[in-house]
Amino acid sequence: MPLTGLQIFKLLPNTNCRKCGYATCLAFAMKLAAGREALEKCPDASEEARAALGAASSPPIRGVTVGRGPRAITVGEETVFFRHEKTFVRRPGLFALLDAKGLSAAELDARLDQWRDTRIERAGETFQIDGVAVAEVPGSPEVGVKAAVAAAERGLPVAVLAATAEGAAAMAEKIKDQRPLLAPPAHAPDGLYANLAARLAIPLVVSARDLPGLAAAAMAATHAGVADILLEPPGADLRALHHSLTAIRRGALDRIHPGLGHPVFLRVGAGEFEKAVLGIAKFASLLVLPGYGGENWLPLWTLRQNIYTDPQKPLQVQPGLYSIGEPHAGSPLLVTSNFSLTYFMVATEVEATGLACHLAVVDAEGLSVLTAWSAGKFSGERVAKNLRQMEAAARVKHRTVIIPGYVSVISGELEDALGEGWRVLVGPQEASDLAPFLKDVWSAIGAG
Amino acid sequence: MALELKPKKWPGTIRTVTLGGGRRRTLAVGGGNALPLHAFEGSFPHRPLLALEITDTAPGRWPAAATEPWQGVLGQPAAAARRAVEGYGADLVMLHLAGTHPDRGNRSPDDAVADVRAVLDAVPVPLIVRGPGAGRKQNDVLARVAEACGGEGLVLHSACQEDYRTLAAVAVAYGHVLVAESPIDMNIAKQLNILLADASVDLNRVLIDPLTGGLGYGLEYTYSVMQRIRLAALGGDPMLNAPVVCLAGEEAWKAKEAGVPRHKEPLWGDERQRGINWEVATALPLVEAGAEIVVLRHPEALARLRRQLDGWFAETNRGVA
Amino acid sequence: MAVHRVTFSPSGRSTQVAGGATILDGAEQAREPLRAECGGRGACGRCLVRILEGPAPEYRILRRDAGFPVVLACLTPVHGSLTVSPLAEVELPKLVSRERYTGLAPIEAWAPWPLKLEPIVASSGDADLGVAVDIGTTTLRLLLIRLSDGVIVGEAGAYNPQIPRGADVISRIIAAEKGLLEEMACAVRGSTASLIREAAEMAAADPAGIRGYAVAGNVTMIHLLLAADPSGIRQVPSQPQALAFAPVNAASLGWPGRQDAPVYTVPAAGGWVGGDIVAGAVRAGFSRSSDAIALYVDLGTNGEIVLGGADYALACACSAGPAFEGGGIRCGMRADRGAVDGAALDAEKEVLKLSVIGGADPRGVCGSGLIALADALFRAGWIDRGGRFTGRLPARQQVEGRWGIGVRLSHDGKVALWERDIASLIRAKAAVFAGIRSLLASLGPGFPRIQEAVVSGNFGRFLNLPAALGIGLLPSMPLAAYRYLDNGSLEGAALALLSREFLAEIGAYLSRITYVDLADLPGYMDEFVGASFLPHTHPELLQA
Ligand code: SF4
Ligand code: FES
Repeated sequence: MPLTGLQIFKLLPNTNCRKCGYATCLAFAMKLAAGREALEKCPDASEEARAALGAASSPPIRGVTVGRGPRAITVGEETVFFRHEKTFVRRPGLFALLDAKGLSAAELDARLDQWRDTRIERAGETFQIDGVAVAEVPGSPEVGVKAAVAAAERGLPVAVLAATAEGAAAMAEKIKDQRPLLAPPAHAPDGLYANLAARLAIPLVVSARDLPGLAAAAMAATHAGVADILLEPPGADLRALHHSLTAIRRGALDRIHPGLGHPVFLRVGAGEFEKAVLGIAKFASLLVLPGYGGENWLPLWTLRQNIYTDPQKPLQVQPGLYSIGEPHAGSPLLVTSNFSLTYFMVATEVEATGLACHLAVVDAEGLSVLTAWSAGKFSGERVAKNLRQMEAAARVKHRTVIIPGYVSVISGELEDALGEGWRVLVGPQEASDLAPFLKDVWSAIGAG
Repeated sequence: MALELKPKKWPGTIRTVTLGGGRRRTLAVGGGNALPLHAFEGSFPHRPLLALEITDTAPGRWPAAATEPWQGVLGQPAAAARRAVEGYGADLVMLHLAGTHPDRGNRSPDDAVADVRAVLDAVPVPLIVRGPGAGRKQNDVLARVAEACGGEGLVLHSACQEDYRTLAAVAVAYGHVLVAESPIDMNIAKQLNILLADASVDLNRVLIDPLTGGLGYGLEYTYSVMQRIRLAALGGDPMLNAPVVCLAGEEAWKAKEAGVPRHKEPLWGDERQRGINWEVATALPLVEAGAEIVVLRHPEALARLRRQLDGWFAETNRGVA
Repeated sequence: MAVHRVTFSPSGRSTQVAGGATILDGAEQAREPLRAECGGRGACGRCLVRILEGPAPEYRILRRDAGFPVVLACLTPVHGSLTVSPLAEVELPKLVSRERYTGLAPIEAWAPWPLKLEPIVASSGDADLGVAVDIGTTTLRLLLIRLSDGVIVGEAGAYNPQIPRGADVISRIIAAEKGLLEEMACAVRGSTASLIREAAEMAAADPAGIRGYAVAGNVTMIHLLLAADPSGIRQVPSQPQALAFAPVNAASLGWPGRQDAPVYTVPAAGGWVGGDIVAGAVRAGFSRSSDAIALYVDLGTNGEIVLGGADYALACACSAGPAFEGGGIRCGMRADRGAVDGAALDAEKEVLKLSVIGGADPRGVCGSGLIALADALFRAGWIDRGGRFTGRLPARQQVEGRWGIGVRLSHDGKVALWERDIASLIRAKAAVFAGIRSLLASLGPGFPRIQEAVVSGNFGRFLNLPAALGIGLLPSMPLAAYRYLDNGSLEGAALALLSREFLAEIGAYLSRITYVDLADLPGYMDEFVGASFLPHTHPELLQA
C-alpha cells in the first residue's frame, strides 16, 4: 500500500531545510507519494523513514530486460491494476515470430532487415518491431541458430522459442551475450531449461497447467538461480486466459505469492488477434505475434499506445479544423481551445443551433480558454498560427473568425496577426449563448 | 508456499435493464456483480449484446470496407435491419436517423417515424433509435418517434446534461429506455443520472453512453472512465450502476487508419482486414471495461466478438426471452 | 500598415494607433481614463464610447445615441481616424463605509493567542500613529491606530482606483504590461494617501505622527503598489519579482508620516497566495492550531485556500472568477447600496423574499445575494441540480428576454437572474470546492476531516453560511465548525503592526506553508467537474 503525502511527511524531519530542492518537507513528501522523487534526496531522513518507504516502494512486479544495446527492452515493473491509478510503466514488447524453415540466407536477411527498419510514426511515438521470436526448427537445429544469430547481429532482442533442450542450448549459447529470452515448449520438465537459463544468465519463461503450478515453477526457477523470469499464463480460451492474467496481476500487487511478481509472456497464434488485444489491455508484458502484417500490427501498436499513455494528461482534443454539420465556404468559423470539455460544450451548442460551422480547435495545451489565455497559450499570435496551420483561409471565403467572448482582448492582436482582409468577431462568453449569437449576429452581418 | 486466490466480492450490482417489450422480443442487459468479464468470481445473468448499425439514408462517409456488407440495402432501413438480424446475427439493431439532421437531408420527424415503424415491422428484436444529435431536432425527432412507437421499449439515443427534459418526459410517458450520454466524464455521467432521477425517470430504464473514443482517438479515456464508472457502481453508487452502451463501430471507422488504402501506406497492410481489426480492437477493450451493448458496423467484427463472448458466457442466456 | 488618429472628446486627448488596434488601445496610449474593468474582454460593458466622427464597423454597433453609433471601445478596431466620447463616468462610486472598527483595540479584539502590545515601529507619545492597510483588487481599506495603546482611532475605505484598468488581477497585469504600471502605482498610492488623510481627519489626528505602515495584499497588488513588474506572476509556474519585499520609505510612496516611516508589506506564500491570505490565516490562529486540520478560505476574485495544522499547511489559489464579487453576472454588483445580499423562500415556496443593502428596490445582486438566491431557487425546485430552470418558476416571478427566461428580482424586471448567471456562480463555487477537495486528497487518504474552517471575503457581514453549504461552495460540516472573518487581511495587518511577535509568527508560519499549484494536482479537473453541480456529485449526497 503506497504511503500518502501526509504519512510520508510525518516521517520526514520537518525542518524545511530545502536540501532536497523543495521549499518544504511537505512539498517533497507529496512528490515522493506521487512517485516523482526519490527519498535519497533528503540527506536527513531517518532510518525509520527509509525502512517504511523502502518497503512501500519496492516494485511488486520485477523488471526484466531482453536484448542488449539501444533496442534492448525492459518490461514489468508495473504497480497498479487500473491504468487510471497511475500510468502503466513499461509498454509491452511486441515480438515478431520468425520460422526460418525453408528460408534462404538471402530471404532471411531481407526479412530481418525489413523488420529492423520498420518504423511507423504515430502521435509522437515510433512504432517498431520490438524483437524477434526465433522458433527452433526441429530436426535442423542449425536453421534456428543461424536465424537467432542474424537477428541478434541486427541489434534486435531475441526470444528463443525452443522445441528441445538441445536446440535451445544451441541457439541461446550462441547469443547469450545479447540476453535472449528463453521460452521452453509448453509443459517442459521443470529443471532442464531453468538450469540452462541460470548457466547462461538469461531470462526464462516458465509455464504450468494452472496458477499454483505457475507460481511454483517460478519459485523453482528462482531457486535454480534464474534471476529474470517471465510467466506464461495458462488458459485454453480467452476466458481462462483472462482469468489467469487478472489473477497474476492481482496476486502480484497484493504480494500473495512471490512466484507471481514477474512480467507475463504471451504467445499469439495466427488468427488470434483478439487474444493479442486482450493481452495488451490486460497485463501481458511480452507478446509474440505471428510475423509482421500491418493490418494486425498497426491496431495493436495503437492500442498499446493508448493503454500505456499517462492517464493524467488532461483530456485533449486533437487540434485542427472540425466540421459541425456540413459547413461550406460561407459557414461561420469559430475558434476554441483543445481542452476536451470546452470542445464538447462548444460542439454540442453549435450542433444544437442546426447551423453548420467550422470549428477551429486551437492547441492550447489542453487548457480551457480563459486559463489558456491567462497563461499566454491563447494569444492572438498563437491562434493565428494555428489557423494558418489548419489552412482555415482555404475553407471560408468570408475571412471572419469568431473568438470566445472571454478573450476578446486578443481580437486586435489576432486581426493583426492574421493580416489584411481578416476580421475578428467576438462571440459570447458562454457556449450556451452561441445559439442566439449565431442567429442574430451572424445573420445580421451577412457574412455567409 | 501454497497459492490462495480469493474471489473479489463487491457490494454493488449493475442494474438490469430490459429492452423491447409488448409483442416485441425482449432482451435484458446488466445484472453483473463483478468487474466486467470476471466470470470467475461473479455472476453475469446476461451477456453483453452485439448490435449492428443501420442508417435511414445512405451513409456519406463510411469507408468502402464498412459499406460492402450492406450493398443493396444502404439507405433502406427495413431491408438492412433484416440483413443485420437474419443474415449477420445481430442481437439488436441501432437505426441512426442521420438523415433528419438539418445538414444531411433534414428529413422530417414523420419520415423518421415511418423508418422506425418499417424497421420494427421488419425485425422482432429490440431497436435502438439514434437521433440526429442536433439539439432541437434531436428532441423533435426522438419525441415523435417515442410517441408514435409507445410500448415498443425502444432505446432512445440520447439525452445529454444540457438538454434532457424532453426526452426524459417521453421516455417515461411511452415506456422507452433512455440513453444518457456524457462527454467521457464520470462526474457528468453521474450528474446526468441524478438529473434524470430527479425528473422521475426510473433508473432501471436508463443506459449510460460514456461517449466512445475510437482506437487511437481517445479510446483510453473512454476505457478508463468506464472502468472508474464500473468501480463506483460495484462499490454501491446507485447513480452509476446503469448498463453501458458504446458506439464502437462508428468511432472505429472514423479513424483515418481504418480507411486508408494499402497502396498509400504499404506498411499498414490490407485495409479491409485493418478496418475490421480496428473495430475489434476498439470494441473488445470496451467490453472488457464494462460495455453491455456494443454497436458495430461490420458483421465480421460482430462475428469475431461473438465467437469470443460465446465462449465466455457459454452458460449464460443471450438476454431473456 | 495604416496609422489612424483617435481623439477623445471632451478631454481632447489624442493619439495615433495602427489600423486594427482597438479604441481601448488608443485610450490607453492617450492616457484617456476609460473604464475597462474586464481588461478589455468585452465582458463588463464599461468602455462604451460614442463615435462622433469616423468609420464605425457596422457589426460592432450596439445602438445609436443621438444618431451616433455606440460601441465597446475594447472590441472595436480602428479603421480610420476617429473622434469618440466615453459614455460612462470614470468616477468610481463612493464605498459605503462601515465605521465599525473605531474604538476597537486589535490586540484585545483580534489576537488569536495572548499578544502584547509591541509595535514594530518605535513610538513615544500619544501622537504616534500607525496604519494598517489592506489593498484588495476591489477595495482599499485602512485603519489608523494609536500606537501608545493600540486603539483604532480612524478608518477609511474606497474602491481600488485601478479598477478601470481591469477588475481582476490578470487584467491588471496585462494593463501593466501595456505600460500602465506607473499609472496604476500612482493611482493606488494616491488613493491610499487620501484615505489616510480622511481617516486622520475623522480622528482629529495629525498624519505627520504616523510612524509606520503594515500593508497586506495579494502579490499583484503589492507589485503594483511598489511599481514592480508583475508580468511574471501570470507565467506558468508563477514567477513574481519577489514574495517578500524589504520595507520601503513611506515618503517614497507619497504617504504621510514621520521622516523614514517604514512601510512593511506582509510576505506572500506564492504567486497566487499573497500576504493578505497569510496574514489572515495567522490572524485566524492557524499557526497555533493543534494537530487538527483547519481550513482558511478567502472568497474574492480568486478563491484562496490554506489547509493544514500547526506544523504544516498547504496553500493554493483557484481561479474562481469574479462571481463572488458580483462580476460576470449580468446584474452583478459589489456589496454596496442597492445590492441584493440575501434571499429566502417564503413558507408556501412561491415567492422570493430578498434583502437589499440599504433597503430600496434592488439595483443588482452581490456575491452573498447570488449564493443565497441560488440556494433558494434550488430548494424551491425552480432550478435543477445542473443550475437550469425546471419550468416550475411561477409566472409572476419570471421575466423573459434575449437570454431566455430569468428570475425577476426588481419590480420593473430590469434586475433579473439568468441561467448563465447561475452557471457562472456554479463554476466559481466548483473551483473553490474542488480546490479544497484536491488539497485534502493530496494529504490523503480518503479525504481527512476538516475540524474547523474560517471564511473570509468581501461579503460584509452577510455571507449566508447555510446557503454556501447548500450549494456546495464549502464542505458540508456542522455550522458551528465555521467562523466568519470579515477582513482577515486587514485585521492581520493591524496585528502585525502592533506586535513584533505576530509579525515574526507570520514569517515562521510562511516557512511551513507549502504552495501548491492546483494545475499540478492530478485530480483537480475531476473534482472541478464533480463540483459543477448542486451541491456536488459526491457519494455521501446520494446515499438517501
Ligand atoms: S531535505 Fe529533508 S528535511 Fe530538508 S526540506 Fe527536504 S525533506 Fe525536509
Ligand atoms: S467591455 Fe470593454 S473593457 Fe469591459
